[in-house]
Amino acid sequence: MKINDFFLPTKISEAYARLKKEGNSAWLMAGGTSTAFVKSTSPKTAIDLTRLPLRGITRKSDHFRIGACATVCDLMEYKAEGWVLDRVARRFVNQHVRNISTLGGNISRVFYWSDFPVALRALEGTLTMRTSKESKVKISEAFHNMLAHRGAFKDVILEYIDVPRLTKGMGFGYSKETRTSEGFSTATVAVFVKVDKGLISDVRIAAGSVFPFPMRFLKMEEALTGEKAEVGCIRKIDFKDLDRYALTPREGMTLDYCKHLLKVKISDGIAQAVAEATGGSR
Amino acid sequence: MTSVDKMKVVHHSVRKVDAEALSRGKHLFTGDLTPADALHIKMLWSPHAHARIKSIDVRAAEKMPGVRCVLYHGNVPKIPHCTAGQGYPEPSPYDTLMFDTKVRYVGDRVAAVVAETPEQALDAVGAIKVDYEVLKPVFDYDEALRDGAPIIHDEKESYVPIPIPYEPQKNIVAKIGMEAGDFAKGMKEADFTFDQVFETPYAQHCPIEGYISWAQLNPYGRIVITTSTQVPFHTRRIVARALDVPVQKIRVIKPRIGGGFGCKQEMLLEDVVALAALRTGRPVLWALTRAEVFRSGRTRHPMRIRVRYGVKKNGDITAIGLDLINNTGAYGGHGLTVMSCAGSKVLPLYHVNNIHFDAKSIYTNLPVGGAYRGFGATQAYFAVESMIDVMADKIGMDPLAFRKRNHIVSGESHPAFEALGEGKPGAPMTIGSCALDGCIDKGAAEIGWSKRTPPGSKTGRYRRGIGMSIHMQGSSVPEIDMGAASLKINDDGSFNLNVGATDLGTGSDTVLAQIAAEELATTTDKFIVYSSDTDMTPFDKGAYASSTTYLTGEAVRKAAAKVKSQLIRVGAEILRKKPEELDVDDAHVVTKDGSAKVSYKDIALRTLYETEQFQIAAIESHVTHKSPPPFAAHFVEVEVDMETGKVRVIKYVAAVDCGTAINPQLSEGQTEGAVLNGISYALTEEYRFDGMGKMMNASFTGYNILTMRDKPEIKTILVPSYEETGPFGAKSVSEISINGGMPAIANAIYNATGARVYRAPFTQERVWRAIQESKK
Repeated sequence: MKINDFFLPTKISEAYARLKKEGNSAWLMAGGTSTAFVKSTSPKTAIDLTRLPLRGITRKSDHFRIGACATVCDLMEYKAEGWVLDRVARRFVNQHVRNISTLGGNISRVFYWSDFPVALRALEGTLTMRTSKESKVKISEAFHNMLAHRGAFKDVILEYIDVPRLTKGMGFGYSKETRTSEGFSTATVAVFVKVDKGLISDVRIAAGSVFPFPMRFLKMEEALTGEKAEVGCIRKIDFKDLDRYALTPREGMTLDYCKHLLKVKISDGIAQAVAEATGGSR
Repeated sequence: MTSVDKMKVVHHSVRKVDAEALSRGKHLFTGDLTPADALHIKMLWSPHAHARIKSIDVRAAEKMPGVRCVLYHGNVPKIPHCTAGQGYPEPSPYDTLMFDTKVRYVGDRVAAVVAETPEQALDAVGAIKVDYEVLKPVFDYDEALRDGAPIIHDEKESYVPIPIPYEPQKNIVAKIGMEAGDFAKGMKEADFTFDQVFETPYAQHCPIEGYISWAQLNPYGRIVITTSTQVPFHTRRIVARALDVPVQKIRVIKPRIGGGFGCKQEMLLEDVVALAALRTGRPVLWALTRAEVFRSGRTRHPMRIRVRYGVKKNGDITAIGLDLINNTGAYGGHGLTVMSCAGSKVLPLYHVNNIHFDAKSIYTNLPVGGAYRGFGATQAYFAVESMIDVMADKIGMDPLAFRKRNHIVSGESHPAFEALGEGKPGAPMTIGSCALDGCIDKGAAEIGWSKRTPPGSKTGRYRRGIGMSIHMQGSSVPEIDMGAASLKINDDGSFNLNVGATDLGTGSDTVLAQIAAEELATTTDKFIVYSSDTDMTPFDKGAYASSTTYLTGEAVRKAAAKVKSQLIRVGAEILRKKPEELDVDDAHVVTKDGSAKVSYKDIALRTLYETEQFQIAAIESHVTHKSPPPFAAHFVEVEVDMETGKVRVIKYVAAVDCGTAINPQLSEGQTEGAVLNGISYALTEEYRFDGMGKMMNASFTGYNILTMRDKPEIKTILVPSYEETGPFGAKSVSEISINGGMPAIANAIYNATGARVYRAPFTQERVWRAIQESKK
């Protein structure tokens, strides 16, 4: 990645105007760590978003609002009841990278999608973006946008992310596999569970790394809904359902093992989420 | 035997002589010293594993902005040479040209562009047009040895400079073997026999400072090469050959080095920077990117090892057979010697009378093998030490007791020492110091071996197991390599210690200063240590084969002893005593009764300026006649996730007998580094190739080397012994501790799960599959 010009806007409108002006040669940048991975031979104009007021984390009545330029370290250190992204942040590369990488960058730049996008799919987070007008999209819609543009948001600035606040009866499980502590994920699973009167009333299971974009397993979710909230509920899942998905094994794994690993990670994620939702230890 | 307890400098953890400058970030490394006006080199690397260059057109590249010259096969000397930095004549084939008309792996040299900036050079690389005739590549052992296989070195020019087996028409780089006793008879005498194949993978050394060199012409037209090398003198000799210029015309300077681990025991960049400097008259820099280091640098040789053992119920080992195939990749440097060490550093560890050893190194169209810490022994120990556990299990004996019953001890010899040399017969040797039993006992106590339970007794998803392995290595290449040191006194009683030995960050400059300081009864801060510079320092073979402390250290001790005798002679004149009445202490010549003394400073001032003037100085050389092994016992506790196969190292204990640890803290550092290196090699590091032979994960983000965040608890125990032939009782410590990772972890995985792994690295999937297999 070669950067031949640098623009430091202080207003979102300025940033957006420059983005429109530069077109394909614009490069939105916050932490900047993704420049190490993105292959581009044509020089870019960096539009540095770090001076924009997009860094804070705010607690709302039923959700948290996170500025897109919040660093992973910010997410790790934030403490509030019902906040779960610290668990994702803690498994993110290393402290040096956590200090500078941003949530926005992790969502919009890093492929394969793992880490926060997987968690946000399970939590049904929403993204608010500046286009010609402000627009809110669910994370699931966001990745369709990225798919259409070969893995990058086009002509938009991600402003903030809303993520639900977990309350009593809700649980979150997160299971990420890496070969080394700082390695890329070989399988990441996030699970959200809501328990009502001892039964699972809502469940969302998402996985990344083994897919270009995080996937939800709707059939598995359907199988669990209404079941007793206990670890044994995993037996209700037909893991043959994984055969329907085009998995992309990482790090030289075979497809067979990749499926097996995903199965283990899904089971782990569900066990964690159910344990939390029912007041057990995660 | 000298008591180390009485030593004042040796066996003390003094501060490294370069510590302050390094920690202050001073400009000490090759890249720091590059002239501002240096030109830059970028290489066009082969995209093909095996191809002939039908034509190459560099005209467009030569005309591009900033380009000063383009080097390719059409405009450089074509002199076969070997890039391996070994003694002369090298026991490796001369199978390399600076640039060739054939490329033999993805990452082989095609053409070098020399330009004002790296970007201009890179742009011009893209403008070179090459027409390749793509040839069928060879990627594995069986294919390389198959009748009618593509011949990787079909050129007529390649040859071996000494009479060793070399059959390039069969893709064979070298062969070596030995027989002792009667292997077949030994197998027949056994109650149980075993026959198992193991495979070890490619690995990269991953020094933080990659390959980097620059060259310039001095005012007299000599080529001065500043380079990150382990072997400055070998490099000078090989560059002279490759460029067809006299050695006299070349000076090689090695500044501080940011790690080597064997990968810089090679002449890889220096010929090109030297020729580029000659052609342009300008300083020229070449630094490889990390991806280039992975693809075009040197690697650990992958090996396939067949082990056959015979054992009696009482624990006597009746026979061992080792058949190795060693993949040297596209060029054959170190192909013979790595195999030789896989035998000579491994077979002698246990008493076995009936021995068969047969090894072949083969060419393939894959990255090139080279020297790497452990040098073949590491690969062979995986197989041998895994099988020791298998045998102990079969006869129902504790693996620790089985090892203690069978390992070599002081006063014993082994035929492999003489049979397996490095291009000529090895040196027969009787083991001197050996504290291996102490290593085993202390390591076992630290890991809690007595509480180890069998695999069948474990339940649950996460299961823990304890494994062990024992090893030996060597200290120097006897009767082949030479080290030397020069020492002179200055006005203030300080000394210049000049050595050709190469401190790679290991601390060898400090260790050598400690040896000199101990002999001269002064302190290390009185030494200005300079290493290495082919114009300024005496010859040394360089940093490899675990030799600097044992070999160069003895040269330093001898030089210091000579200087000491000169100091005493002058001191005797000053004090009006007989020399035999005097000794040295605290930087003074003193009478043995303590009644009078004169300082080194006063002696220096007298000899330099006043009376009977002469320079107090000495230069001494040393060649070793044996290669005394350090010994080690490693113990590891692991936890295995039975569901995923993931292995986590909980604790690792390395008990090492390195003779006298000249600097215990540095010895512990070497051991801890090598242990983590070995764990990483066993568990996570991996070269992954596409179907065309291109490494797909050529970066630190993809290669999965462990970092300090992955470091488990490592306990190093230095178990003392005294090697009479070494300086102040020292042997080596740098290589041995990488040998334990693979076998000890494999044995621990077995102890945890009942599943055995025969192929490394022990990825989650391999371990998981072994677990599934063990359940059948």
